[in-house]
Amino acid sequence: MAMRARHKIRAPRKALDDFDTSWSTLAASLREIHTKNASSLSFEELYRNAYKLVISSRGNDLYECVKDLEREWLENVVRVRLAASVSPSLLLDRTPADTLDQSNNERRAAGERILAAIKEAWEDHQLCMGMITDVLMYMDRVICADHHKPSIYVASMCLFRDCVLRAPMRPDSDVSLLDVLKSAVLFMINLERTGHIIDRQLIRRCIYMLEGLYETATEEESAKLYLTVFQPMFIETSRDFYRAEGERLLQLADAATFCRSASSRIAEEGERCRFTLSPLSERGIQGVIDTELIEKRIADVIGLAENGVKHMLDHDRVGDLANVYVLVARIDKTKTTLTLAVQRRITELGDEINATAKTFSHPTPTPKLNESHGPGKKKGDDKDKPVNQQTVAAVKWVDDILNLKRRIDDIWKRAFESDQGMQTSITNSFSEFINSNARSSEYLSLFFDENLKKGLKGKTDSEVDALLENGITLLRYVKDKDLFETYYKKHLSRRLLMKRSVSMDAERQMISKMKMEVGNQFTQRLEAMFKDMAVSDDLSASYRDYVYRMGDQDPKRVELEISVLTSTMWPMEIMSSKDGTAQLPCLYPKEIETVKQSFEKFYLNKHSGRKLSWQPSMGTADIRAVFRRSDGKIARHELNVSTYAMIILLLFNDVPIGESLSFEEIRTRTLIPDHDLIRNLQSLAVAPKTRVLRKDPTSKDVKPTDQFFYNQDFQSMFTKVRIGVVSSAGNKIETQSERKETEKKMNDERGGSIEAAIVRVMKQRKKLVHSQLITEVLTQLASRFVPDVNMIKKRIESLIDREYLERISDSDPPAYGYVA
Amino acid sequence: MPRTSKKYYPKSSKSTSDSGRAFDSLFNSSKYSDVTIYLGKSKIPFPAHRLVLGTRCPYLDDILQSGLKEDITTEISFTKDNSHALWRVLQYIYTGDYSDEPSETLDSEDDDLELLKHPRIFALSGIFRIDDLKELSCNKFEDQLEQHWISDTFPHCIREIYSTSNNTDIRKIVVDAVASHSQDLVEKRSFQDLIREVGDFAVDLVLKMAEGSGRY
Repeated sequence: MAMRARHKIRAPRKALDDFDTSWSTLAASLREIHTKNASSLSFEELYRNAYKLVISSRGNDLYECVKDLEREWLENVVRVRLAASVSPSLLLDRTPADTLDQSNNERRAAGERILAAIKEAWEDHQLCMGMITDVLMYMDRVICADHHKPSIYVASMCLFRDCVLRAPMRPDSDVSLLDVLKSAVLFMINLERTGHIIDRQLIRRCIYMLEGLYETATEEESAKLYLTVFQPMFIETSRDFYRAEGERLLQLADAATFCRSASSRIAEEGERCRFTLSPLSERGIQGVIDTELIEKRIADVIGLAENGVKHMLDHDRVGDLANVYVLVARIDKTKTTLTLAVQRRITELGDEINATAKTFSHPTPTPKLNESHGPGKKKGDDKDKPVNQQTVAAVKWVDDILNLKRRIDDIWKRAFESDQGMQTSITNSFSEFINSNARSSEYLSLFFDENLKKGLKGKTDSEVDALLENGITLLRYVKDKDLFETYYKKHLSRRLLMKRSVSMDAERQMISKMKMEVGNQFTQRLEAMFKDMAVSDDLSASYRDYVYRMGDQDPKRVELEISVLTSTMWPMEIMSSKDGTAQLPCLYPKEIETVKQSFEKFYLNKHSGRKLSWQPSMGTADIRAVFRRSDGKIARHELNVSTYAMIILLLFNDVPIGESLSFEEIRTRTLIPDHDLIRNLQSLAVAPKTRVLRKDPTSKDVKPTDQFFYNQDFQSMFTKVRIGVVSSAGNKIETQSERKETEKKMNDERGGSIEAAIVRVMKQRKKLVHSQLITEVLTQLASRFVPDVNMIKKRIESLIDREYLERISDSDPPAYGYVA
Repeated sequence: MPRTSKKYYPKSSKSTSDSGRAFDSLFNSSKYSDVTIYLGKSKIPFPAHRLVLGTRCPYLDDILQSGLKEDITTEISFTKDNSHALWRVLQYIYTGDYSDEPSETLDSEDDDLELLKHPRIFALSGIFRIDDLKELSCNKFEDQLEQHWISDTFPHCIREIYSTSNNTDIRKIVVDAVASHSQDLVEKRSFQDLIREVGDFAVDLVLKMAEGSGRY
């Protein structure tokens, strides 16, 4: 530091004269540089001159002299020249819309002239100052370091800013060249926005100047003139423009056009920033569009009744929807407006599907004969279309939903970029309307039932797989999976017992799919049902062997095919009578009773300690019947009937021709429960195609006073006749009462599941706060159903009463303890 | 001034010693020459190379791209400097070092006085803005002073140093040398004249001595 003091010492007198001489040479040369006359100047001499002055401690004086020289040059030559190129039309403040094309063109030409002049002056100044900086390099090195002054280049740029751009052009007005420049550029941008072609390159050059000039000598990024002077005005005029544009588009255009215009405006402005203005403005101008065209308008656009998002969704306008998505995504990460519109439409369409299913399932006031719901067999053969409206409605419901899902998924992938958040919302909407249909579980199960019985025929493996997979997709949405399980079990049991499944492979495939989707616990009982069936097949076979080995070769002996079911695994309600009471054994004809006892002996021999209870309501029988028609011909038919019907028909073997049995007689001789008896007699004596018995009087209903005759005149086109069991009452009422029962059962079962979950949780945790217990129970059960919180509370109370749990006294918040 | 560096090559040549010396053979060679430099008052021509000058010396780089006379004519004249000093600077630019011995090419010209050789290189390195050369010439000068402080040309040397450069590094070297031999030097009349004449030097010296006495 000791050496720093030197500049305090005044230079000798002689140096002053030297300075003046040297400076006047230098000044002349610098002027020559500005007037582009530099080719004869020696760089070395100029440099040495300046160097000498700096060495003799006159650097600061030199610096100030150069600055003065530059100021004088800029003020007296450059500014005057530029002011002369400004034509009067530029000094008027107008927007292009105000004026005719003629004056627009004039103004534009004048603007281009002044922009070109400014551009040239600026580029000259830069070039000359570059040369001067090189010549004065040594001065800059010393002065900038010692005096903390900006380099002469920076200083001269500030002079250009102040003396050329910012100074008033004429003494009588305060309009500066910068004002003219700004309004000329904004004018041209406006022209371009309204479809004209402008000289982008020229504007870009002038913008380079504004980017290269700073408010400060320290040249911070944020102090660029472009940012302080031009950008605010640009943003402001753009805001006005796009505000008006938004209004205009909304009035004139449809939603698709609006979005297309907005997207192309966004692209246009991006391009403008890159090629005409400055990339610095890109964010700002995009913000303007985002606010004016999107934020303020998009909700209206999306909601347009005629052609908004609803219309686009209904007509699969993927491109338009993609536009909407891109726009909304710009302003809202969660895309709320669009998501809500899509959700609203899904819910609407879903409600329609639900409503259609509802009306479809009760189309006529007089219900047709029910097939699949009665605990009996179906009539007709497989080629018949599902006559049952309920089934048709269910299958249609599922198909409709799957179609909707496919369409929405497709749109989601192609238009919404597979957006995660939207997927969640879409899923919620589906789940909501699916679960708002109280019969969703039943419908879905019917869908599977229908397909596994008929729909899969003739389909390839991959088609089957796709079909089942679709169903599983819906299952994912169904909240009350336990309810679904109940229905599925019911339907499955019928398929298994009546051998109605098209393909056991498909059945098993279905089980494994469900296992993957819902879990082991869910399918355990279903698998047990399959196992029973397999065991029963073996059993039937070995019983046949057994009979054969016993040597009983009676050709008239009834063949038995038995299904032994584990009572806890199968839905017992389909086997017990309607009122749920245990069934009284009916009286079998002698030949049947023999077989029955023989099998019981055989079975209990194998498995002692087990109890067999016979379920005639689930069985079927094939019998050969001979009809001696009144015209003398003899017709033979093979009848496939329910076990009960078989018992009834066998009675008529002992009735002489022409005689009858009364309802009462049949009842006392068979002990078939009234309910089943009536239904079986109906299908034997009332149903048009299967009238094997004749009833007196001929009416639809079966009354206790009715008489029944063997119908010798029975006619059928087929040798084999299948006689289904008529359900005793209409579809509607029965299903409702059935449903009530199912629900009641369901609630009991859920109560059990909840208690089990509570105990499981408490056993593990020993002590738990109330709210936490509720949460854990809810999570544990979520995969099966959504439990009612009140139900959980009741169960906790009940467990406390039964001393499985205890309330922990003076605990806040309330908590429970596990009683071991 | 850091004095640890005893390698006299420019930084750029340290890492790639072989390729860094690639310009050696072009020194004072008309092969590929595209610029002529005229040395000293008698304008002795020196064949030079734009590429070498432009990449090794920022100042010559500026000249050769200035758009001014030298750029157009590809001739640069240095008439105010001693030709031997210029020779050494060019030698440094091409080879990374310079020789104390006078060049045979410049037989007709008087070489600088012994004690002025390095200060003049130092002054030129300031003009040419070659910082490595500044360091190199400073170090050489300091080594030389250890022997030659007694020389009668020392006062003249100091006078020139104070007038051709305002760099503190080289001024410190002479002030230190004078301070450590003050008892021998201050009695000399030529020194007293020097102190009287060059105020900056007087100030530096007083400050130095005050600093020294403060320590003891």
